[in-house]
Amino acid sequence: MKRKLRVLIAKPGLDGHDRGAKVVAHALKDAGIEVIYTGLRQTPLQIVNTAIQEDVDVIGLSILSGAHMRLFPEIMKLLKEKKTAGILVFAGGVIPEDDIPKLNEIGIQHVFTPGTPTDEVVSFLKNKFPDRV
Amino acid sequence: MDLRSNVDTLIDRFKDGDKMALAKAMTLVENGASELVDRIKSEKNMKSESEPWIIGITGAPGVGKSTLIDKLIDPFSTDNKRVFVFAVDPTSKLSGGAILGDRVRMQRYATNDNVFIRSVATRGSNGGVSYHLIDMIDLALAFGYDIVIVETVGAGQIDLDIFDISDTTVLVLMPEQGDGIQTYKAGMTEMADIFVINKADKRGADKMVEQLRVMMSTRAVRKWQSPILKVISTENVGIDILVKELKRHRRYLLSSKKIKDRERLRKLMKVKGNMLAKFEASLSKTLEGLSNEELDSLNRHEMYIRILKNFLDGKEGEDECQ
Ligand SMILES: Nc1nc2c(ncn2[C@@H]2O[C@H](COP(=O)(O)OP(=O)(O)O)[C@@H](O)[C@H]2O)c(=O)[nH]1
Ligand SMILES: [Mg+2]
Repeated sequence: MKRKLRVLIAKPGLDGHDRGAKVVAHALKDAGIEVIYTGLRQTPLQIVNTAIQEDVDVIGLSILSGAHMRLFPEIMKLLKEKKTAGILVFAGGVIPEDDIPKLNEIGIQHVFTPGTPTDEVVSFLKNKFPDRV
Repeated sequence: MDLRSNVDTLIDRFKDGDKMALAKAMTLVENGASELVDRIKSEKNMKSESEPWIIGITGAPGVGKSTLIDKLIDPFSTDNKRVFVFAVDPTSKLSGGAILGDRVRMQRYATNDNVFIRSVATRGSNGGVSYHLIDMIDLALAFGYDIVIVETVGAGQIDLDIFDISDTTVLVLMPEQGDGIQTYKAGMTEMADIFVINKADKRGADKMVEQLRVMMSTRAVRKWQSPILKVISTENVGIDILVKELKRHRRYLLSSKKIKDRERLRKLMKVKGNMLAKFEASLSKTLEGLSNEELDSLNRHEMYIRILKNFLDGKEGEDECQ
């Protein structure tokens, strides 16, 4: 029996809606993944503590508000401080292409730009965890 | 270093009160490593002065269980108690995946040191709770949590159910809920220790209380008469009375020694859950391994023998935790 993949879908910042995050969550569920969902307006500390309590393998950050360059580094820093080695982080939402290299640099493995089909998120995870999804 | 593959370090850090170690131990146990619970319990001095208290909150989806638990945590944690919440949601039969979204309503506690929330999918079990939930509860207690609250959609068969696991079970209903209480199996209302009519701000709450009273009047008189409480979780109305009733039930269990019955039931259910998980895994493997020829040629009895033999040999379906 393989250990089920657990993914946290988290919404940092002050976004007013979470349709996109929910669509991704459903796609992952349909791929056999256990998805933990945080709801809106999460602080970096809430997200990191949740990831620890839920012992997730992956965090998916969804953001629309434009605050990613402020919030994502904070999240990555907290993950490092709390020594959560091995959690893979990806992001999606409204994130300009120009910001992506910077985000990769701080440890965000992949950034999905608006309009990415959910299949792509699933195959990204399948690739990273070949025997778990 | 992955703590999950270094059990000695994991246990040391668990004993030191490291929450990450607790979370990783939960994952191992959820995947079948029940021995880890025994090891931790034998190595860690369990707090013996306080009896554990396991509270089940059950009811149909959408009646407001998560919202209710969010409000319940406050009075308990200000009592200087440490609270652990298990939020159980069903696994999709089709994909094996799950969306675990109960904690959305409790996220304000994500930064509270005395509260730990863990989402759990039912996985293979059809009893409305995961096979390994009791092991996971044991871990929470061994770590030092005083109160464990379990949220579950009580739709399961009465096979391995929340009633067998909890000391106190609250059945949450709401006005205008489908066909009302008739939709519940008789067993479910029989076994609830406390009824909550949540969303009492909506029409029909009093009617529902009345229906329940009528139903209860036909049930044999017992020492514990399950109270029926009207609550508005979103507005924190009625929570104080619920907490009082929960504590009253707890005193009743302690004074009537019924708490020991519940403990015994829990121990039995734990063995049952562990065995069912192992058997189910082994059974699936054996069935998958049968060729078409074998399927046609083996008779029923031979098939059973094959299944049991593989199970006993332990070659098939061994839980693998990495
Ligand atoms: N009007 C009203 N709505 C409530 C009450 N309690 C919960 N809700 C709402 O009911 C919905 C489902 O609540 P949730 O706690 O997720 O239900 P669960 O599926 O039983 O855990 C949410 O939109 C809540 O805000 C209440 O007392 N009154
Ligand atoms: Mg819920």
